[in-house]
Amino acid sequence: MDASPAIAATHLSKHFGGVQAVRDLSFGVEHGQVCGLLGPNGAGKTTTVRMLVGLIRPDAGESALLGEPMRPGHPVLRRVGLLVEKPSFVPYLSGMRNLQLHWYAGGDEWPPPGLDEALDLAGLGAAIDRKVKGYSQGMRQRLGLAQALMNRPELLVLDEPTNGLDPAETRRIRVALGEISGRGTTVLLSSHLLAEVEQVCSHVLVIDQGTLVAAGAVDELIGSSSTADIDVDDPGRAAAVLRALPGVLDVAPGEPPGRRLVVSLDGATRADVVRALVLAGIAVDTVTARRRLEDAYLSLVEHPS
Amino acid sequence: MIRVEWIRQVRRLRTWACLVALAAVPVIITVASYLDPPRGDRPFELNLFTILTSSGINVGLISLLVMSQFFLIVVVAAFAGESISGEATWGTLRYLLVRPVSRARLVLAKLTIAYVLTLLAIAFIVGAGLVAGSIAFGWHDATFLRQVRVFNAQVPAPAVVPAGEAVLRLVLASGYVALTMLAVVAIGIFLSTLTDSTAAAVVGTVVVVVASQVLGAVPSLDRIKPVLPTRYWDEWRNLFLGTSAFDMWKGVVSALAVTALFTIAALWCFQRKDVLS
Repeated sequence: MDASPAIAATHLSKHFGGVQAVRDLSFGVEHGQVCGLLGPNGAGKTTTVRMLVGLIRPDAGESALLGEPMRPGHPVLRRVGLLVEKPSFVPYLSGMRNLQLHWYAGGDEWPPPGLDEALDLAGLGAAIDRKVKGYSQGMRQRLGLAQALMNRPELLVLDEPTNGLDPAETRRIRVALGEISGRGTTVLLSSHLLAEVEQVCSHVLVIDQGTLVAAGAVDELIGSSSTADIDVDDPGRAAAVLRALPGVLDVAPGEPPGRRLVVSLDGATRADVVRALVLAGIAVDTVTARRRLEDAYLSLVEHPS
Repeated sequence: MIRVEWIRQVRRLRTWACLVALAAVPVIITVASYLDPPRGDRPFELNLFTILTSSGINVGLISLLVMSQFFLIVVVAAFAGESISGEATWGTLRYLLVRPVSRARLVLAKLTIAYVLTLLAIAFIVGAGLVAGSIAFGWHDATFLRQVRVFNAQVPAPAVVPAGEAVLRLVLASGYVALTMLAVVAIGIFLSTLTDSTAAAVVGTVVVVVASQVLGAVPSLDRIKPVLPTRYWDEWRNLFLGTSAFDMWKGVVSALAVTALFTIAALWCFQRKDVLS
């Protein structure tokens, strides 16, 4: 495998008018990683993605994809799949014709190597031969994913890929991303959906006000211990039982107060916790994994107003 | 890239609607002239319109003359001005540019297809005029004009021209108009690289051409006339008026210079453009 990172950004900066969109941004995404790109609206995520793929010229700095220094129209783009913001198509052409023209634009002969699996993932069926102007937002999104995947890319850059999709479609895409990354494809996933990023990504980059505020493995960012929210009928007795349970780090009252406990686990599983509570005669209503990335993310990007 | 652009344009309803609209005008002129023939039997009333009914070839000529004044310019501006800004409007420009294709190649492909459509437009205009005119007035020798001296003045008089030579002159005139429209295509492509608004690029192209025509009509601006893009656009008419068509070569040079200038400007601007759409 190539020793250079799949994505390398070095001191990237860009301003628009008087606004500094990205400032001295440097990071790397290694081969095979599924890396989430997080940040509030206006943080510079889209500008960063566009600089990476040559749509925007940086004021300073440079980027490289798959070891190739990036410039507009570089042949390395043949090995990259992209979904940049919302997918867009020629409205009076069919979905399939749009895919063909996108492919022909690179001077390649039809069909692309990953067309069948990309179409399977899109799941558009007979609608692939209908004009795109009749597509729903979800159908366009799935066609955009098919377009990004049909070249069987080594690097996949996705900007909000589940926008406009219903929960079933979102899960399907998430599963597919897992399979794609399982084949060794590097993925950069820009998303507002932190739960989605937490489930899919091995690493994250957090950008705020155009600068990198955190980077690393998801587990490193949120801490090694896992946390669960547990609703019980007797929180006081439940807390005492759990504090005595091996592998439980901490037990604290949760929100809303009265029924909920926040349990930090260090070795014990959620199943161990439920078993201990039930054996102690305590009724357990719900047990949910805490959205820990959200907490870590908000602590990084929230500013005092 | 040229194949991609060609498929996009020929599968678009708007392209064919423009071409049909261009072809409809010569048909309307023919029908109107057939029902109410233009009159002008005295020399000082003689012009290319008054001899319209003499042959189908004359209708082809009048169609080119009428349409090249404005309607053709608007359609060519639409073909060229929309080419890149339209992609930006639809949001498809960023997806074209993340394929391994150079921006220069994209601009040149857009320019090529816009110009091919322009040639088609001219062919539709002249072809529709020839067909409709021949059905209405017959296919035979054409009548153009020649200049005769009456006392100290040059006045036009009818001149019968064999059909073969008349068609040759019409082809030459069409080629000249096509060359002048190449400059319009280049202006349109250039403006299309500057904006993400199709309307702004199309209207801007028409405004540049009309402004040049207006400035060219102001007598006190004689000094700047030679550099106006439209300065020599009408020289081709001399092929049918019996006057000197010598300045057509200046028109060829002017059109090529304007085309080169705006094409280079388009390439330069598009290479540096940040694609934000």
